[in-house]
Amino acid sequence: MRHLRILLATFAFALVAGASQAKAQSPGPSNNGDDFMPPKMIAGKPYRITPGKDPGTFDIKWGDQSMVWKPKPYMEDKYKTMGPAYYAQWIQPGLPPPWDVPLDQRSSLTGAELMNRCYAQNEYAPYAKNYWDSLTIKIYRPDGSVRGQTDMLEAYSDMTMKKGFEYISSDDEDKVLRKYIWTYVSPDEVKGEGGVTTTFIDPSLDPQDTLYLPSVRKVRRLAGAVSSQYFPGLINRYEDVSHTQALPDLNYKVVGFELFNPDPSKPQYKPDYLPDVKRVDGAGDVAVIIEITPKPGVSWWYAKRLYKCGLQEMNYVYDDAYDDSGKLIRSTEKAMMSGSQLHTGTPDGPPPPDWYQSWGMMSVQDYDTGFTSDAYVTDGGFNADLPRAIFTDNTLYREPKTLNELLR
Amino acid sequence: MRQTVGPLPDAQPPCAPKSRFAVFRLLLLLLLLCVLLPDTSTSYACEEENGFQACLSYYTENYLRLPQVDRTLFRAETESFFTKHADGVMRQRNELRLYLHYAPDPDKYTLGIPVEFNLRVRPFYDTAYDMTGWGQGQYRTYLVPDWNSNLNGSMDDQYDPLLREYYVDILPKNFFIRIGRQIISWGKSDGVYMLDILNPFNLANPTNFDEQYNKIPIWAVNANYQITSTGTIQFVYEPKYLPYYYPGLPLKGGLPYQGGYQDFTPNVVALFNNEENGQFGFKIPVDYHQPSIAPSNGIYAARWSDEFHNFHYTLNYVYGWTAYMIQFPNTGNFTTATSVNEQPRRVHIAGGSFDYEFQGVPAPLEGVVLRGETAITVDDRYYEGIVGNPVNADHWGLLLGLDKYLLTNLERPIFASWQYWHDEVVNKIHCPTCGADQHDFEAIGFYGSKAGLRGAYYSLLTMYLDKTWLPGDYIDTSFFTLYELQFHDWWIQPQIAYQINDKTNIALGFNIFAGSKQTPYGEYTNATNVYFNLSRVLF
Repeated sequence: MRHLRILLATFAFALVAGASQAKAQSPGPSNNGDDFMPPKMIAGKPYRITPGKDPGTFDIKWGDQSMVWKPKPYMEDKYKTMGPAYYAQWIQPGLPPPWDVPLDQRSSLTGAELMNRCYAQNEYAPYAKNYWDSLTIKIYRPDGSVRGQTDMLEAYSDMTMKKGFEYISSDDEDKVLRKYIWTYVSPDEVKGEGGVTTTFIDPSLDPQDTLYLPSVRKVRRLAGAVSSQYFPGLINRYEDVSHTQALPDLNYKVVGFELFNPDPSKPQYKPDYLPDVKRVDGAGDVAVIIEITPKPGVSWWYAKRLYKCGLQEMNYVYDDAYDDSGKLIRSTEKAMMSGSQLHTGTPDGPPPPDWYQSWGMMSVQDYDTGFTSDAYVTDGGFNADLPRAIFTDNTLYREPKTLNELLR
Repeated sequence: MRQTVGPLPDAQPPCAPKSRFAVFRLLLLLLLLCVLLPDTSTSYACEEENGFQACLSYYTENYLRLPQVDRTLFRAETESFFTKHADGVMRQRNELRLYLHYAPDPDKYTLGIPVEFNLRVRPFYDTAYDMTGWGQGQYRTYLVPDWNSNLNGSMDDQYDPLLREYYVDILPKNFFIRIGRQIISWGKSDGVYMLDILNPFNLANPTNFDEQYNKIPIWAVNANYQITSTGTIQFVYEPKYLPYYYPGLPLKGGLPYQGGYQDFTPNVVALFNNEENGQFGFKIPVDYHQPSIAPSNGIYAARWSDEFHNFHYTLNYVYGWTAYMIQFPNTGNFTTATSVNEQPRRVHIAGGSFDYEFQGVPAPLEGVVLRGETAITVDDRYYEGIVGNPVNADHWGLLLGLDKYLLTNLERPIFASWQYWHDEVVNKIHCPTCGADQHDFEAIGFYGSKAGLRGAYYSLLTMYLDKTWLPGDYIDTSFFTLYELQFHDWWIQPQIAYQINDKTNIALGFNIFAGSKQTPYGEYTNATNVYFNLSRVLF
């Protein structure tokens, strides 16, 4: 039913904003966030941004919460200049999912709907035929030294707006919601390894995965739902990578809202942390807090997860996971990249509008082991001229080594 | 192929003889270089520039026999058997793996069609044969031409080539065309090859699961057209037939010169070799005929692969040759043969494969992947009865596998896979000259008595368990076991692998064989071994 509503909303959006969507390849809302006014109310409370005491800073007040927003070296240029007013571009009317719900209604969405929008749709970009990127994942030992680095390629497509229909069979148009393909390009131990995730419209179905093993050059179906399992060779889980929608084994509940003020002790929010990975960290937006818990009888890697999503940019920005004794076992910071950092058509193509989003950067701290990880996009974009069977064994068998090779 | 073998080398190695201790020192130095040198660069990276990529790594695998036993072997020169302590060193293969890849920039495409060039070079040298008094080194005279190195310019180009894979990928939109020497994998089974038959195997070390290095690359045109978003039609043309290559196969002067010296020589091969080399007081020369390169001798194959909702499947057909060279007695009967004609025969293979994941069903079925593969092979040849005359055999193979994660409440669950496989001869065979036990066929452990014969129906079970450990899955433990339902023999392989860093990996494992001496795996009981692998990225 939830997906039916999404489809209906999509259809309505297409009727109302047909002209702008006709330009979705070079998208409708042409405004890049420069002259949008920040909202005055978010989640039922007044929201105000005013210039701060120091140059480049902003004072933000939401209800009785307040913070000072400070520019940092890792921030995208326009975001660093505009401050949290940058987020207003994602509340303009006429935007596709996940932003097609007016701001004043977003705080009323259910936990599962927010999960689908803030992570799954945000990541899979239903407004484009496809999204693709290259990324680097670094794993650090407890002493901070690098344990390993994995380089990876991936491509996504989302059927919510039917833009990815060419990548699935006509029989599956009412069944398949998303497709995802990934392949490792280094290190040597995992080079060529890859897989495909298929996500279904039916929310009671778990995503399905395949795994290509270069040692035998065959593709295997992965047995059962692997959402809670580690992605091969990483400390991220499938739930962090491609199983990003509301999962059938979990309950989602909105438990509150907060003015999101990143904790400067967390790696990703330190000003000089990976400053070349330009990103938008969600600071100063109002975040909805979603409590995620396993359904009764389900064994999961956490007992509770508090998951934060910025209501303007509709982007998952942060979460803490706890075990059943209430101990914090993992924290995750996630920043997005906006259109100016990305490309259209090819890895050398022009940037799309700023309101296009990429998942950007994700940092994980595993408190049980002391290991941490950073994953970040090194290149990416939308609307490549992909072959229709990109999400099949054939692509994995080719073992693409660069983004250009993946996109052929 | 076998007629091109050069003269056998002298008993001494062509280079200066080395003591066993010198060899160990060399190996120790390599290990030190690979493992103990500080890894200043933590990240792995090939050399890359302007679409060109070059990667080089070193790999070694070392196998040591565990049972301290004597081996009884047949010496062709004296036409007699002898017994000698087998000793421990089975294999010390050292190889470089160079991979070159070139993908021109899009503006350099011809006719706007993307192309990619690939070359995999794999020079190897097995130092086990330099230990002249140890293990396999005791038989270096017989084994060096085939198993010591592929840098000697002999037949290695066929079965263990220095230039291993070289191909160009041509990628018009929705097409994938690969032309050149390559590996083409079919089917959905592990370690059972009914549809996955386009590449023969080099069985010098049949215990290594790394198929991409055990398969013999074939020259082929491999054309795929993605008709729909999920459906692909594939056509393969192989101009040259290459048979499975195994210890004991090569000939010199019309006679097999490797006898049963190599540790993984199947019993049935050693038996044939002994007889041909004069076990009964006279030699039986072998005339070897491998099909020439001609369109009429080519291998033609086609596959349709598609998905129907949750059901992934393929339909396959091959017009090919028998996987192995077949020995035909000149009189039609080995009891009266004075020579042997060794050649393959044409076969038709048709079948399909599938996998399906159970969803929305009660535990424990929920999340189980069922996969299967089946093929009917028409006009194959099996050796029938004690005499072992080759007969036409149409046989049906079926594999069913179940995959499931166990103990999913663990931080890293256990992947478990079970397989059942059978092969059943389905045509009626009448062979009055095949001796006792007609309608049974010689299996690879056959060594002259009915204990080594299989029936028309032959089956086995496998189980594979795998679990990773530590953040980043840097430790991988696995346990494989195979049990044959009629022969009651076993193969067990536990292994632990550790990724030291992004450039260095090591593995330690055992191959444990058990069963009676003429069974397919029991025959290797005395080859039960411990092995150590290391790979190190150089750039």
